[in-house]
Amino acid sequence: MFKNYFKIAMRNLVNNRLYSAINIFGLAVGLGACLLLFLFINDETHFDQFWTDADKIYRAESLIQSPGRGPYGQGFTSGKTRSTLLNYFPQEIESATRFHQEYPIIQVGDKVFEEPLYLTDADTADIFDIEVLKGDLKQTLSDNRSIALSKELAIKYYGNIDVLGQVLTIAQNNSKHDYRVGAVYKKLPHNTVISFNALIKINEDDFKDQPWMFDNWASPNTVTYFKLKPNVDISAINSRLVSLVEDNVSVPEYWADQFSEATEFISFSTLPISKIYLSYAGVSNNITIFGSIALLILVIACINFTNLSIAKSTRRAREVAMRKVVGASRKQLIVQFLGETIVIAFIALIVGVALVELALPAYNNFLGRELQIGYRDPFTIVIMLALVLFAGIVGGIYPALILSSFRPAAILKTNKAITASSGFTFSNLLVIFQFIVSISLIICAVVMYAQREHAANMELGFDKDHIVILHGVGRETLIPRQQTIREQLKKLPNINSATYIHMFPATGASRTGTITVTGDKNLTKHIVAFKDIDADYQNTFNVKLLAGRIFNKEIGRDKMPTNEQWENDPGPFESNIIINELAIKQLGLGDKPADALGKILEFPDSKKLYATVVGVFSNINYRTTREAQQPELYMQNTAGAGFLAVRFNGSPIAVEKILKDYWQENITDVPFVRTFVDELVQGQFRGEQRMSFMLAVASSIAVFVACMGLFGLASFTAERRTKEIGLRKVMGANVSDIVKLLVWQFSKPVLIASVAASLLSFFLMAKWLDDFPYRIELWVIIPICFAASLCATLMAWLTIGGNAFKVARARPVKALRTE
Amino acid sequence: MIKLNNLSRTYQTDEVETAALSGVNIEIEQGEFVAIMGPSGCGKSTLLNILGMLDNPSQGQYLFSDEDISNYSEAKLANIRKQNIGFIFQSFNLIEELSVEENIELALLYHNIPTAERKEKVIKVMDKVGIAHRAKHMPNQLSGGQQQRVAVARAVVGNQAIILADEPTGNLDSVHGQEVMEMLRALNEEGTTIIMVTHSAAHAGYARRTINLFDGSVMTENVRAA
Ligand SMILES: Nc1ncnc2c1ncn2[C@@H]1O[C@H](COP(=O)(O)OP(=O)(O)O)[C@@H](O)[C@H]1O
Ligand SMILES: [Mg+2]
Repeated sequence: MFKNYFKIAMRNLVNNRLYSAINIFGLAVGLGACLLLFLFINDETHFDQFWTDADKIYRAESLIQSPGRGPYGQGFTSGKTRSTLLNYFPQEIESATRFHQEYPIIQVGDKVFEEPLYLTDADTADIFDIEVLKGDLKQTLSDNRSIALSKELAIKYYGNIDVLGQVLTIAQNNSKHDYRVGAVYKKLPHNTVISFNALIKINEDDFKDQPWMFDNWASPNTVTYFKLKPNVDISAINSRLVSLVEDNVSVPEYWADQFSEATEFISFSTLPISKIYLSYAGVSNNITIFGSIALLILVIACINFTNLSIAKSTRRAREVAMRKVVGASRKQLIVQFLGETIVIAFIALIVGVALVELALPAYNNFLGRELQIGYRDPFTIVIMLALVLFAGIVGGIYPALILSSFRPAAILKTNKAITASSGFTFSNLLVIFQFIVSISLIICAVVMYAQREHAANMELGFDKDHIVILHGVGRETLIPRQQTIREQLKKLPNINSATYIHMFPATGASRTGTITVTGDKNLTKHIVAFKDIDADYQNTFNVKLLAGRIFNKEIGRDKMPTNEQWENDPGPFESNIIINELAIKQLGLGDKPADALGKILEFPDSKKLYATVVGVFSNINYRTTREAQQPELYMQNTAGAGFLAVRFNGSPIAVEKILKDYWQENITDVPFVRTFVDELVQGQFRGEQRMSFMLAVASSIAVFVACMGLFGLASFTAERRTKEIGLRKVMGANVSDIVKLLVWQFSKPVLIASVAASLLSFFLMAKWLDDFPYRIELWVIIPICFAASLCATLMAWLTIGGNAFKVARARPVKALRTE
Repeated sequence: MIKLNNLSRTYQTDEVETAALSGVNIEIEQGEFVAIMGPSGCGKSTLLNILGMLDNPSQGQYLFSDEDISNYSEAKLANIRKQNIGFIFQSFNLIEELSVEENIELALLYHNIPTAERKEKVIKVMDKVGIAHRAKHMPNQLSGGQQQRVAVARAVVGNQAIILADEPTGNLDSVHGQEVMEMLRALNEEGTTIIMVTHSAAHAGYARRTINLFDGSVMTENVRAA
């Protein structure tokens, strides 16, 4: 039986070459696109599952409520968490480890590097099976003055990995120590949330002067992982996390008046390591979006199946009738037709897999991953077979039902072919659907691209293309030299000005707090952003002074109280501040900038600070174009600034060389590290860039597959209509009449789809744009809709036009002879 | 009006050359009623196709209103054809998706005639062939005789001077065949030139002149006395 079906299926494939080629290739492209997206999604959902003890490793999470600030903590925990967990759960937890990141200066011979370095505990070697190439990791992490390097870092520093016993110097926290290389390990794969270039042991004695680092419950500075003992369920831990707080944590002194119980300010939870990546912002969102796109492309490819089978059904009506006459049941016929589509889908899968193999190198390059088809991975195999079944059944079920329902008498009696006119409109509906999806994808891709371009290139108010930020100026050895360095830099060619900053521009970082306005009877608390600046901030960031004056180094009141004063002096304090235009509005200080001068703002802290407005700055977009501008308060305070923002003119490359030469000549103990603000801004939109690129590719594939279907459908319809076309020609229709007739037949669904897709995408994209404070004007979407519709229509015309022309040119006699 | 000089048509198929027509000389005057007879495969349809400008001769001359059109392009022929010639086929060749009136209207569709005028002409011609009461019906709801009446209406709705009919009664029973012949006769009496292929001697009797074809050549011509 099945052999018979298979034979017929194969014969049908060979006999209907056009039909087979379109089905197989269209579906192969669709399945290939699905597979590529599946590989990505599969990778995204399988982070951190390769560890031997993956199911036993958990991350401890903490959530800390703080007065005057939202809850914080999440993936980070206090340094005390590890020991507390180990003591509290001796029966349940086998081992636990912490990670804490520092950016120390590492000196290797006469070279210096600024390198991210992880401080950790020796249990790391037990919990994570890290492949050690040289030395002993556990021993290295048990020793206070040993370091483990990744293979890549060892090669960067020494040129090879035979480096055990080499000594390098690490400068951190006001102290310098020599470390001996004790282990070299293989870099971890990309699909884990933990990654580190170099590891040293957490030596709490090194942090005696920073007690908050590892000894304060309210200060989450480390990531804590723990591993369960065999046969322990995580619920044994989770159920006792509240009592853990009650038994071990007390309210910090400075919050004593806010909280009476420790459980009010801190709570713990646990997260399996394999779930961490999925909890990252945007990850599950991306998975949903890419999954939906994969499904849509698959459905578009399946529709080709349905439509071509319907078109072809006229040819097969006779076969069906004969089979019925000799006794085939409807069920048997359905099975036969579905079997055929499944066979086609299977062949398409093989072609699709070949296409994926061809596309993988570029795809991996784009994603920065090493994805492969897991031919031996049962899950991958199941997914591929499921795709085949899905495509076969979804593509074949409707024609199977139609064909099997033909009444044999009707077909065999008359000479006429059945014209399934209900099937024809159904086909049209499906074509409309295909093009709605394709056109919508094009529109979304273009709108996302336009928004990215708009946001990434918009004028931030400070000429982002000509600022470079130098790192390392907050290092102990450079702090005393800060003013000299600035003055020397300003004398260099192409350098205009330089200002010390605490936070990077264009990264979204900001420090906010609440203030009240003196004299405000309601005592309204306003949330504003604070920014510590120096006198050169204005020139460097091209800020306009709208009223009043800028800070003066010589005026004592222009400076904020120092940390020392703050701690020892009971207050109240007085100082001068500058605000931006938005702050005037938000705080209600007047209509014009000058109105704000002399107004006094109060910081409602335990120690009062009265700040008098002496100047008003224009608004600039210091953060990112992803966020709206904020009301800002500027105070003069350079203590603790870690970066120097340098305004230059001319080419960045030339300036980089000038700065680097200066640095290497004058500063030997801190490496030269710089960041161009323009690069920062571009980097902010990498997510959108990637998304719009993926959408562009997906929409091209969708359009391609839909057009293949249209081509097939047009060929079949033209064939079905040959006689009619011949007759029309006999009646006087010329070639262009016929071409118009055929092209119009398929333009209708594409035009309807254009309208529907434009409406749909307009609302979808208007909603998406809503999240951006600086967005392209909504009307911009309209020409994009037009262009996308036009593009799809042209593609459709191109697809069917050639065939229509051929058909239209055929001599009418031929058409009329075919009886 | 029509003059064929030494006209031939050969078909080239898989190295075999079939001469469907060879050395045909025929002259047909305006207003004539001509029947073409002959055994199956002797070239009647080929001749009619060439007369109807659906096909080009391989050799010889085709003079239409003193114009040699034997080497005209398809597009040029189409233009002359749609002004002058109407067709009736053995198998009716109605379009299944179009109603009776739409099928008739098809013959006017490509003639740049305003819609209202088209409708008027269609109604008139439907009255003439007695199919007006079936105007909205689809072809498969009609009997063969009715379908052929629609086809006749379609052939004459554009006031074509010549009607070419290829076995118009071949698929009809004798009663309906008779009806169609009466219609053709009436048309001829109004001045339409009719050239008809038929197997029936009785139906050939409606024509003034009968051309007998055999193996691609004209064997005899009989002219019936008026
Ligand atoms: N398109 C064609 N290709 C090849 N041979 C053809 C073609 N059309 C007709 N013939 C051949 O030409 C001859 C005349 O055909 P036709 O004019 O249809 O005959 P009739 O209409 O008298 O039965 C036949 O032998 C037929 O096989
Ligand atoms: Mg014939």
